[in-house]
Amino acid sequence: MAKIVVPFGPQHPVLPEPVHLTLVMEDDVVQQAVPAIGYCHRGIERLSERKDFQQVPFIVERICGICNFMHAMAYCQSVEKISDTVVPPRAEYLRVIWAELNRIRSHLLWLGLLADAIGFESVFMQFWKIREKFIDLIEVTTGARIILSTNIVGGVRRDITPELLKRIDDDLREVRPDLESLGNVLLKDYSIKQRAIGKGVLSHDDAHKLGAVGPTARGSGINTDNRVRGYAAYDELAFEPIIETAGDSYARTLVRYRETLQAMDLIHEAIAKIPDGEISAHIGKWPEGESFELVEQPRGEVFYYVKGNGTINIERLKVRTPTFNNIPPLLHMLEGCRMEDVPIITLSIDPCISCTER
Amino acid sequence: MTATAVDIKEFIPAIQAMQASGARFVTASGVDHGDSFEIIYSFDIGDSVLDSIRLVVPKGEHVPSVSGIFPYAFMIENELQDCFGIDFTGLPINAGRHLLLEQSAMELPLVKPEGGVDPTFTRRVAPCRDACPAGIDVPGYVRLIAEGKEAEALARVLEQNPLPAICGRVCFAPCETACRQNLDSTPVAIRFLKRYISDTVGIENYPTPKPMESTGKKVAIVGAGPAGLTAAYYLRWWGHDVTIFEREAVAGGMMRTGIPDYRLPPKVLDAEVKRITDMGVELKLNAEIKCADDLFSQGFDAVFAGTGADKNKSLRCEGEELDGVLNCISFLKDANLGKDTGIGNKVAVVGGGNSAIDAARVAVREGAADVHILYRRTRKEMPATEAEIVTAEEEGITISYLVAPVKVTKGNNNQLAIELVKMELGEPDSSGRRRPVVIEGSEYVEEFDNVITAIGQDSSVPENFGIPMHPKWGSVLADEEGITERDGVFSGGDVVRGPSSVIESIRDGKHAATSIDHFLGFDHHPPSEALDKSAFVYRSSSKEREQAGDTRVPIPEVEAENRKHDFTEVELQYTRDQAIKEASRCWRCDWNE
Repeated sequence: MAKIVVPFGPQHPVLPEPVHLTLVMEDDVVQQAVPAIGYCHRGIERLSERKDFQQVPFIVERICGICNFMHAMAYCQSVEKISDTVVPPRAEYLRVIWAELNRIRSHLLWLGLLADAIGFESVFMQFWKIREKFIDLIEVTTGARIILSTNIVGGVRRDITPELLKRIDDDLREVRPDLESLGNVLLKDYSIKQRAIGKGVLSHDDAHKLGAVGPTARGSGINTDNRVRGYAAYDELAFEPIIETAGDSYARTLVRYRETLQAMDLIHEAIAKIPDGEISAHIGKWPEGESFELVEQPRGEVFYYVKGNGTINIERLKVRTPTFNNIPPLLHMLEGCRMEDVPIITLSIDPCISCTER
Repeated sequence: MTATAVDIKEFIPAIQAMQASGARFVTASGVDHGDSFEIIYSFDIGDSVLDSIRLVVPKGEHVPSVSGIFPYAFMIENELQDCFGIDFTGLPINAGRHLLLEQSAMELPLVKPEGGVDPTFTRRVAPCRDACPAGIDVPGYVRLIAEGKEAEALARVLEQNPLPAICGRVCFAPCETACRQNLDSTPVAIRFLKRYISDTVGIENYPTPKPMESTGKKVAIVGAGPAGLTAAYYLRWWGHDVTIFEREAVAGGMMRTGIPDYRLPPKVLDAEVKRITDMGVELKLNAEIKCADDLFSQGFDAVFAGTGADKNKSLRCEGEELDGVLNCISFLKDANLGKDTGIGNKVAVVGGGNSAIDAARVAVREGAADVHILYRRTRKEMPATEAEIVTAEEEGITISYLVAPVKVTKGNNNQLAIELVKMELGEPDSSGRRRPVVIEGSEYVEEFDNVITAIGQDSSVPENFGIPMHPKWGSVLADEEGITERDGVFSGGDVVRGPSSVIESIRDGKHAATSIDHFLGFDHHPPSEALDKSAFVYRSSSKEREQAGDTRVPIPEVEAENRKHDFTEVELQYTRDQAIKEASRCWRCDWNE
């Protein structure tokens, strides 16, 4: 039959993220997907060159609302490497705690959105209700619900008191049974299994060839997680990446759900092990030289390239976010899928377009 | 963390070697070096350890795509193509420079502009420059002071203001009120820095423009105040024959007779006037002009009336004509010209403006030990600048609020008995200030040696001068460019505005000079007051501003105890380090953040 071209996005009722895909369809089956990005482009990399390097964490946070903490963390870690700054241990643990809280918040958002995309709105609401508990913890410790603004070059801006640490511990324990039972509902549900198993399959080889990162890659059996490298305080915490091998949307859902529980375990461990001490260090010198950094965000690996030239402005900031790398796998996954599966598959790579377009 | 540099021939083999060793391609970062692009290809060689290959290509050259080796590199290569304009050969999926939706991106975001200057939309007029009536490039000259270039800073000021040493001492500094640092700390000491540069360079060393070729036109300027002097300066510069007619025996107008010597030493004023007369302007003192027609019949082609506002407002209370009741303007004039003022020991000054403060402080220096200022509203409503009120209090002057005189009679011992009544604040009047209302039955009498009335001034124009006047206020009717309804007669300054300020009169003189020049058939303009968007602005870093600090370097002053006995200048001078430190505090608001 004839081919029709369907523009999908950037604004679309069922699409949570403003990515623009032009779908070439034949008979309700997608033949090819052509991407176009730039809807949310704000010129953040260029703006960062004009601001003082200590103001930049607050700019790069705004690349993405959901993964914001780890953007600032990646930037700060890059600059610390080229400015003779040693982050105190307590600050590293604090960064881990907030990073994992951020990860939980992001994954719960995604799990809710998955349910919503399928039409299972009550599960969507329940996931977001549990998510509020974590947002409350973030708000109580940093003052903000979404964009934490807590990272600075040299450490963090705020401390978490022992009482608050205990509260985080207790709240996580309190909410865990709810989360587990809700996860059960989501994963064992017949409709969700019908819409997610076998859809958007990305084989191990394809994932490797196409450069997938994050849960998208781990759902296809690739053992890659930047936290293994041991930045911040991850080297002192027991951590193993969660791998699934099926490579379809269901596998990716499993990965994210289990990562949420694993993140809670990591927080418990970090709270138990956190040392006392300073929360930030003096900056050794203005950044000079090049620095490359990889940090594991909820959606995958983010790459930061910072070049300093000894002045107060950094010369070049380059950010490559995980969704940018996950778009080629997405295009591959979409080939041959049916029209009604397009939103779910797009969602299954956990797109974050404001990240992609900076 | 190394980044091996390769040239274009070694490039593809290096990438292939990376793939063969099992590395994972992470991304490619582009950097603009002006004449070339640098692309850094980063790889994860295992366990999240990064290694990079660096390729430098001159602009315009094609780069081979690595998408044949790492298929998903097409995304980043498309982005580099869009953002930097690099051409890739062999791109399997080529969005043809449409990967980035063009409607959303305003300009190529990652390529640096060709010059070193910022795009024009980031330059804007800073609040201080906006607030200056004369349009002086305030951030410009403060910046030059911070760089240690006093002479250039002074030249910048002289473009718009020919009397910097005077303004650096007496201007009410609307620029400082508008300074953004005024909101939560102290504004940059712009006025005092202006004084610093004019004193450091020295009035005799000012760059003074050489008058242009003579035009043969003669202009008469009535009044050697700031408006008249400024008009004379610009008109003489443009080649016209200028004569200033001044009623008093000294030039300067209210700057000389109204502002006390401890704020503006006569030497400084005379030196700045001399600079203008040295350009070839003729200055006739003791020459009062009663009618503009006299000047036209003497052969002048245009007349500028800058006679100022020195008619003291009457208190309109009984007994004002008694001996010992002094008029603020004539009191100050006598003191400034060195005449005996006949002031006693206990003096009352009625009024709340800067003139009242000046009169009180002069009275102290003239020997009065017990000086009171009587103001009918409260301190919040006093029109005098806060700094002036504080200095007056430091000198031992008592300020009484919410009190007004009712009548003056002769008292005992040759003193005056003033009946005063207490006031309270009622509803606001048309100026927005709360109207004072008499508290019935609260009258009391106090005796003073002298009473000085300082409640304001009116414009002063000789009767039948031949110039359009406002029917009620006695001021001259002229527009913003100094043009009146009578052809050939121009006006500006206090005589049009009512009592205002030196800098506003300077502005009026400058604009009237331009109007006169155009009326005479020429097309000269003073240096433009508009923003120069192409000028390079270096913005001080936050570290430099942190070092400069939050609060102003205090203006050194003679202490109150020492200064109230004579008329030597109260403000001292910044050292060079202090001036540079103070000027570094400027946030350079003309460079948009």
